Amino acid sequence: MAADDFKIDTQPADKGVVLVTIDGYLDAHTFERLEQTIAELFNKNQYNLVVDLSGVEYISSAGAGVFIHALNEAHEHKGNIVLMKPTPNVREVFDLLGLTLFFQIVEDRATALANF
Amino acid sequence: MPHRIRREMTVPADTTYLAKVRQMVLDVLKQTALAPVKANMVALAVDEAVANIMEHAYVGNRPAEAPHDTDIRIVLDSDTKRFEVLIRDRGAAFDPCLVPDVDMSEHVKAGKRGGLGIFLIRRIMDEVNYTYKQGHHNELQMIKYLDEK
Repeated sequence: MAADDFKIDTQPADKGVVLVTIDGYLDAHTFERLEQTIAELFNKNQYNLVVDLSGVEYISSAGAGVFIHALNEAHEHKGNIVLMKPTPNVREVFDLLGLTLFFQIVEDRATALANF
Repeated sequence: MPHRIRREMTVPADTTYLAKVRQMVLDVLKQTALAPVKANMVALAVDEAVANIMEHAYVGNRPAEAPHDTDIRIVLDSDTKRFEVLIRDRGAAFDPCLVPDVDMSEHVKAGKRGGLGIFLIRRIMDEVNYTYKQGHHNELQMIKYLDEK
């Protein structure tokens, strides 16, 4: 997959939650697009997000940093961010950074929505 | 597998090229016994080091008259026992070994965006050595021992 194939989709889910689906490599070249998408959702007071990571084959610290900053801001507005179906590569990076202690990481949509 | 594999690539200081750098690392590691998820982590360490240079080493220092001075050279050298990468650039001197470690709890509490790249490199690679060749280039050497499956 080329870096230009990076895609983000947002769709309303139940309970006012927005499902953010990411496909591609989340690295220092692409992270600003995710940052912008999340900023646009926050600007619309949508602070409850489920992020589907099943299409993310690669994440670097730039990508992880987007989620750290977004989680902090969501919590400040009584919201939450739940990460769903991370690929083994993404889970390994979150494990190594110790981020699994701070993020709710689930394997299906129903469990994700139960967190709101 | 071949006894020794050597690959090199020179890229501009442009994050568009990070995917190509990672692919080169993965291509080399495919020929070793390192598990795919671990190989991805080594590619991540190289990505983090190169991305740091692309994003920080040439800020306010991109010579229009000599644009190739901002190129970054990546040399991989691997055998059955170890994977070594040398990264050379002509940007501002920066020793990643001097960057303090991250307290992840404080980091998350503060909602920081950046500052995790060096932390990741240290967690992934077995050796990280930095040299500044005065008036010439920065050189970062990173080694991963491959006995871990």
